[in-house]
Amino acid sequence: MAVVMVVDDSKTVRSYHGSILKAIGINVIEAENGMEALERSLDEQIDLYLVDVNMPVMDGYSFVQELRKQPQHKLVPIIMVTTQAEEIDKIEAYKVGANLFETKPIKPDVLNAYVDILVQS
Amino acid sequence: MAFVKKHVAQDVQEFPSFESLEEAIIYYKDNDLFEHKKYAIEEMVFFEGGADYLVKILSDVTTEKAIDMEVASVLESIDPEEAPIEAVMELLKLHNAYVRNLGISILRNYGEAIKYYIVKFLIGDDRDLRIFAINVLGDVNFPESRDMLIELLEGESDINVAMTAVDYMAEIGEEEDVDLLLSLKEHFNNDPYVEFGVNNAIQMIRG
Amino acid sequence: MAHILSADNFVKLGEFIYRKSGIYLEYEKHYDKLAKLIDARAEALGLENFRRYFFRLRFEDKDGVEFQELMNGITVNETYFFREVNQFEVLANNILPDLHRIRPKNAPLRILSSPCSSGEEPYSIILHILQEGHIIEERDIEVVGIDIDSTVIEKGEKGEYSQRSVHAIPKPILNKWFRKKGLGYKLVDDLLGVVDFKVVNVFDRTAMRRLGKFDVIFSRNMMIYFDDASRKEVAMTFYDLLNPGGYVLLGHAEYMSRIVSVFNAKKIDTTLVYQK
Repeated sequence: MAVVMVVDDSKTVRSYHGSILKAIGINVIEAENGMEALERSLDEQIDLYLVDVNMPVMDGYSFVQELRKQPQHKLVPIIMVTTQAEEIDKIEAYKVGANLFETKPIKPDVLNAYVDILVQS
Repeated sequence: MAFVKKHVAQDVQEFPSFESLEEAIIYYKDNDLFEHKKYAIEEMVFFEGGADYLVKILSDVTTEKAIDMEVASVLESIDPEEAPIEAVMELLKLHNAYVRNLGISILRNYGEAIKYYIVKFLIGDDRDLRIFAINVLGDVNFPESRDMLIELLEGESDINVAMTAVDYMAEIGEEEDVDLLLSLKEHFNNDPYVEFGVNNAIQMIRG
Repeated sequence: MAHILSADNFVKLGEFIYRKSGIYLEYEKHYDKLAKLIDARAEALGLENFRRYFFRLRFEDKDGVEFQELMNGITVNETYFFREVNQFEVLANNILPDLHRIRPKNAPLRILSSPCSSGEEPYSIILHILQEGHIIEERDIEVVGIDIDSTVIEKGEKGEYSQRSVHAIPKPILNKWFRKKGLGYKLVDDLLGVVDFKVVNVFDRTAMRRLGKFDVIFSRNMMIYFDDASRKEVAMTFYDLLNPGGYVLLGHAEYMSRIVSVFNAKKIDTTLVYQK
């Protein structure tokens, strides 16, 4: 079963993205900041990450940078998400190893399309 | 070599007692090792002005992370009635997200004592503070919580703030709030995110 | 009959439990058990749906009694030898050899078990070190066990255990280090007195400091019973007590990152450990 990790400090957003993913049979793991996501990542093989840019304790960019050091997650697709109002530093994001960007919350058909393309079922 | 049992009490450094906040601060500054600084931090809080000094340590962005954690831990454990609420609130105004978040995590422990500020934040311009205030309402459940959430929802234009409030309405809302919740769908152009949150909330309210 | 706990409610409840105790529940693994438990709790309290139960749990549980009931149903409370054996194996095969290499020659390696309960955990540590056999030849090792409950400390000092308590110990090890006593077992004389048992409250800072510094701290399924602020306090006490490069091991469903962020999380084989 494919596993997607949703990393966001808003539990509302986590549960929203989570429910879209669960509805198509994905196993969802949630984390509320980068530190927790790193810790959980050590324990699991994740197939796709949705990562919020602004989070307490460890932000999205730092998390992605650290995650890419884990051998089993060097190539896993990472989508960075940000609210409409926030500026996302795309150069920084690409530099640390993110692959794609979206504004949150992501529309269900968009998220489903990403899963189709990016996650091996 | 073997398993040994040593009575290490005498190997352990005995720490001095402080007669004043100044002594504790000097000890804190003069010693580099974490264990010494930790001891000073723990003692400072017993003196008048100690808690305010601790907040100052947090607001210094060059402070080492372990010290930040220790200070936050001590501040979180203070009796809310005696907590340096005003000083911690100042941390929320800083641009450094890390320190802001430390401030928020400390304040969340003070519950009832920060009610006045929660009310202010709910009607303020800062979107993050509105979300923070809603989270505190969700943690503590003041008698006025439901009224405050309703009032917020009636005027909220930020979708993420609104949905955070809707999440809590799922727990403390009543049947008579359903119309307001439904009106949010139209207000936010039937965004699927809103559909999801509102439908969940109504389902929870109706049992 | 359908459970009152739906899949969506599972997420909500799980989030609450995680915030309060640090235990992370996964749908696949825990839904059935939790759903049955909630049905039972709601019935016991005379509450007809999940929302009512959840409200009660969230806002009307001032002395934490209901939360404790929930926790008792979720956690396996019994302690036994070699419970979560992978952690002891990582200690003996990876952590101690690593520390043995880098610590000064005459320094002992000190290990803390907190809470040690009736001693199964610290003795399990001892038995694994004896099985590994090499390090104990070259280095002094000290194992300290603390608990707030004096009756369990007394049990630990006595070294007598039931069949149930030793069920996970491989027979050769059981035969070597235990003698049958009545319906149960007793540790051989050589091992009695090896663990330094003490009655200590982890929140007593002075008493904790007096324990000295440690290289490894085992603290499994203790912090889950504390509130946020207390958990943080204990985590920082452990940080203080650890020598640089020292390790903390928590229970297998517990995660450090929601408590404090000062430790480095590492995976050794299949075991998650935290290093200073």
